[in-house]
Amino acid sequence: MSDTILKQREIPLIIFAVSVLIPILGYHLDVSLLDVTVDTFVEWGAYAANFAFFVGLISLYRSQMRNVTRRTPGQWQYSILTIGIVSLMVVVGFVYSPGFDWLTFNVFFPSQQAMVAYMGFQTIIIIYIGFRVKDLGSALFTLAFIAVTFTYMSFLESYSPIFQLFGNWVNSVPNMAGQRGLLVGIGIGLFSVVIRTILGYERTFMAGAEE
Amino acid sequence: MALITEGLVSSLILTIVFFAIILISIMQATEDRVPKIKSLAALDAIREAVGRAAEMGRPVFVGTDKGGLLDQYAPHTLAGLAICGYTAEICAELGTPVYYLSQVAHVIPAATLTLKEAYIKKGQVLDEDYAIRYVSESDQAYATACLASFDREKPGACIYAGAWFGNAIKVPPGGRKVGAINIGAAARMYGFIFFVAACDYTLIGEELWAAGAYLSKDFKHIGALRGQDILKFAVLLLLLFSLLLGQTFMGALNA
Repeated sequence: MSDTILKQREIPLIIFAVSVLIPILGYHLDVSLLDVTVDTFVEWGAYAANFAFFVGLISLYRSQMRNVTRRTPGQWQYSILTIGIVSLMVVVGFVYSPGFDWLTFNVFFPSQQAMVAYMGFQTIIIIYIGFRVKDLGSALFTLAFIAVTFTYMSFLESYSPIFQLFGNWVNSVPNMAGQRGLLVGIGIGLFSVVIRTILGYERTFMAGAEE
Repeated sequence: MALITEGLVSSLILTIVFFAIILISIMQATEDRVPKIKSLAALDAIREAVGRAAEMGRPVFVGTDKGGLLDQYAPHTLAGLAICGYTAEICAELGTPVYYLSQVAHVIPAATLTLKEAYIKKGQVLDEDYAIRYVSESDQAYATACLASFDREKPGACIYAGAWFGNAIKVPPGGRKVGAINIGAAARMYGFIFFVAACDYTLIGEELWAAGAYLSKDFKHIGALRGQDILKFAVLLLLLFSLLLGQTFMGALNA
């Protein structure tokens, strides 16, 4: 019976509704009890997220072990490496914290920096893919890109102030208007999603719960 | 002592009005009076993209990036998971493997349920160890894992839906490189601007919120979209009214 109760979709919906409505009320109302409740919710969220890390770890081991046991071509070697490195970080983290710091600063951070640097190349690729004139929309997109890029080329200002003026106008008028229009739509849409979720129409995240 | 926090009276009133209008729109929606919604090319293209991947014998990638369920990006993640679920359903129907890379550990149970349910609907069983993979909480590690999986597994379609952050720049070009159809869906300004440039199809801003209603075709769901449109119209009128009022009174004050 307890299984049936836990599987009912009303329970996650009630938890969702309470955890959404209490912070909204806490933000608007000056009631100390609500403030304390909101703080407690935030703490619980942090605890839940920390516990969820173990779910992630188990998922990582399971998917990598699958590659190793099945000898997935071109993958199992990397999986052994991943399992080894993750295990090393976990063990060193618990046993010898200076070693963990050494690995973080000398292995993890440089790898991250390499990926950040790679972002520059990807940006160029995106510019190449995106700014090609195929129709009116892409022509306007490209024109706006050129205009804004010219704004940041200070030497052009010595030829004519029009580059700076036009780029600034694109940034502060059509771009700003478009952004605000989109933000209004996004904000209103958020209300709609929250209400639909509280009422149980948007329930993908709790699939498997009994109807 | 005032009950309402100082300076937030109008915010509270607007919140209540917004909630009420959407709630009324949902309650008013009936099966025989379903509002018409415009077609969303990006969602229609998912079936085409998965079909192409099935023909090529390639898997399909789905991902929601950094958005969690315990932060302000929860609605983005929920909407993204709805799209992932729809994609998985088509994959199960066509017999194409689908895999989801996770950057947020606590999203794994929700993603697992979503994909599992999609497979069950089509009478299939999801290989969880293959389909749900946790990578890391780090942005860079997630991007690396996505790009590496694209290179090794050569997905035929890549669906990026949810609160995509900086990875919206790094990951889609990788999908394009291996010849996948890229479909992006984001409601974050810094996510969808890159999707627009790098993806074949994109859901922009509020279109992501509409995805759940569009896919489910549920009349109550679509009723909520009608409420959104009413609110947008009201905000537009409010803006015009403020503009006129500002122009009139500012002129009078300056005189």
